[in-house]
Amino acid sequence: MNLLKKYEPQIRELKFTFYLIRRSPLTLLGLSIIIALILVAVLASFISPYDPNSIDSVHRLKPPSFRHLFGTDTLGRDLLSRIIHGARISLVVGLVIVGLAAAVGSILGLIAGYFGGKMGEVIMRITDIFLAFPYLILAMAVTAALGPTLMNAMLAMAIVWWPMYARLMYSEVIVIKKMLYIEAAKSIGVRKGRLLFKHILPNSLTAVLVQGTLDFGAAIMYSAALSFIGLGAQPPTPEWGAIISDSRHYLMFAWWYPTFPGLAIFITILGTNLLGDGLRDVLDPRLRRLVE
Amino acid sequence: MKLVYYILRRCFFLFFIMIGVTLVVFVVSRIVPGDPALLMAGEGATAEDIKNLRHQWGMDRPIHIQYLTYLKNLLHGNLGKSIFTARPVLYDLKQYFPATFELTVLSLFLATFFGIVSGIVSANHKDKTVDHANRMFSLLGLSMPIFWLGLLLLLVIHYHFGLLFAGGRLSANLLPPKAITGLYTVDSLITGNWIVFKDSLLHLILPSICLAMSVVGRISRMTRSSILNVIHENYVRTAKSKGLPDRIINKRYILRNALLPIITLIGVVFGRLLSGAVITEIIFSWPGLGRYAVEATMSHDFVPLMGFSVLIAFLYGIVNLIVDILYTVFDPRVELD
Repeated sequence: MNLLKKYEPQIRELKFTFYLIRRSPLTLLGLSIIIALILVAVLASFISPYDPNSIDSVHRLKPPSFRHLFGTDTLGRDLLSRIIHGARISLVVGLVIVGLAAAVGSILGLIAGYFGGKMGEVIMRITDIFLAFPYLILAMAVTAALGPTLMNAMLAMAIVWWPMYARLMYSEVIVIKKMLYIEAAKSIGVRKGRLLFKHILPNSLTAVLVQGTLDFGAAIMYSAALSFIGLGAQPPTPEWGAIISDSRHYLMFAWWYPTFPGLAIFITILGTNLLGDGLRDVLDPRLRRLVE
Repeated sequence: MKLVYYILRRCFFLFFIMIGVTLVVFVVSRIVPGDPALLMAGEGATAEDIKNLRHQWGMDRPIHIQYLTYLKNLLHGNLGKSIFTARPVLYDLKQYFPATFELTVLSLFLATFFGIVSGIVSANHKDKTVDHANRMFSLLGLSMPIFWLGLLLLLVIHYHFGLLFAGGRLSANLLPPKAITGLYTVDSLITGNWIVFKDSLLHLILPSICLAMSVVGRISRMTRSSILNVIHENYVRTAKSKGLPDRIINKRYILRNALLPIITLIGVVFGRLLSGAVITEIIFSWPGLGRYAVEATMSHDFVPLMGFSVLIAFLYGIVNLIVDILYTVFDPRVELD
């Protein structure tokens, strides 16, 4: 009861956020897509009709039917089952890449923004160098160097992506650290660590959260692209990009083969884009109170 | 004068970025598992052979000396030789560059044109059906992985309707035009070879649409929101109140200012196009830089990939430099520092 009282303002804010999300059908749609993705990923073993890797040489490249809703691939594997299991991989891929990149980038951006000076300068110049490459090109080089596996593709994407978050955090922090409440906290003698992690960090996380939501889909798309090139997940992993890569040689006879896994990627990215755009409006303090 | 100073400063900055870029690429190439000398020597090589190779390629020297040698060679335009084909990488890059250039520039043009036009239409009909349809289309385009879109285009337009071509720059029965710029469409126009011109243009359509689709939504969205921002500016109200005709207000007051952010966006979009070009080239068997780099990578040949990465970073840097300069030229309010 005491706990409820203590966090009452936070709970009220959270409720208000959900109220705002409910008011926007597109944001709600995005949220539903992401929740559906998580459910499919978690329940993959229960809901997929077949084993994603069981080979059936009699039913190769069969078009969609009641037996195989999304058809079968060259080895007679059920595409629906493979796509369902692929959701699990994509979810992990998105979480790991965005999680790693956001964590490393935010901390470095926080340090660079708050302390500034030589260290800040060095950190920001390093981000400049990384941002001088188009994403996929550097990720290609890093994955190729580490060896073409899904794990390395994820690592490469995180290495390529953290500077975005460092930049974002940096630009947030240099504004926030001049705010009156930071000045006030300092003047009553709040220590540096507490100031950084209790006052500055939480207030700059909104931007990271919105960017992270938008990037979640992009991370899935880029790692699928790496798999498509042949630098990410290797067969027989049911990764969406890898399935599409397999399908290239059968384009003429099997329209369903690239179509359904691509649709899965497309819907996922659409979901994160809708949710990210919605969250940006909902969490923006300038727009937030306008509805009241 | 201030502008010249600004450009010089930016060039200086770009130089240091490029040093950093080469450092990153060099480090990446050194974390390759396995010994490149072993790979080069091939099967059945003796320990002596490998040692000689290592010495010959300078791989037995300290790492910082190796990096400096690499930099020195780079400044002399020597990007090294492919381990497998033994061809100089610079020569290969020159061969493949025009194909990528042709594809990327046409896509950039298509995306910018259609993005801006649809953005203007959307802003003019805010919250009407056209606007909703266009915003939906932009969102769908943004969410579509480029490799999937490419395959769908092939599937529907080429295989289903039998239109256009599945890949390549030119039909097999035609000879490429005399190389002047290396761009088939331009060269065939210069030499007046209409058959080749038509054929190469038809080959370009699908890949460039595929590539352009990946960014057109961003440009459209940005144009729309930018116009809607500018419409409420005080100077637009002033122009209206003094009775200027709408045509002039739209063109000189709204569009001119609304399109400024688009210039910056083009720099960002160019980076995405370069990434997308790699994938597009693979789907449409387009003999460009991206396909060259991926093929080299697949055979564990790192030297071409390094050369490719440095070249792309350089191009990206140059384009963004030009974009920033253009921005300051078009927007005199920007203060140069």
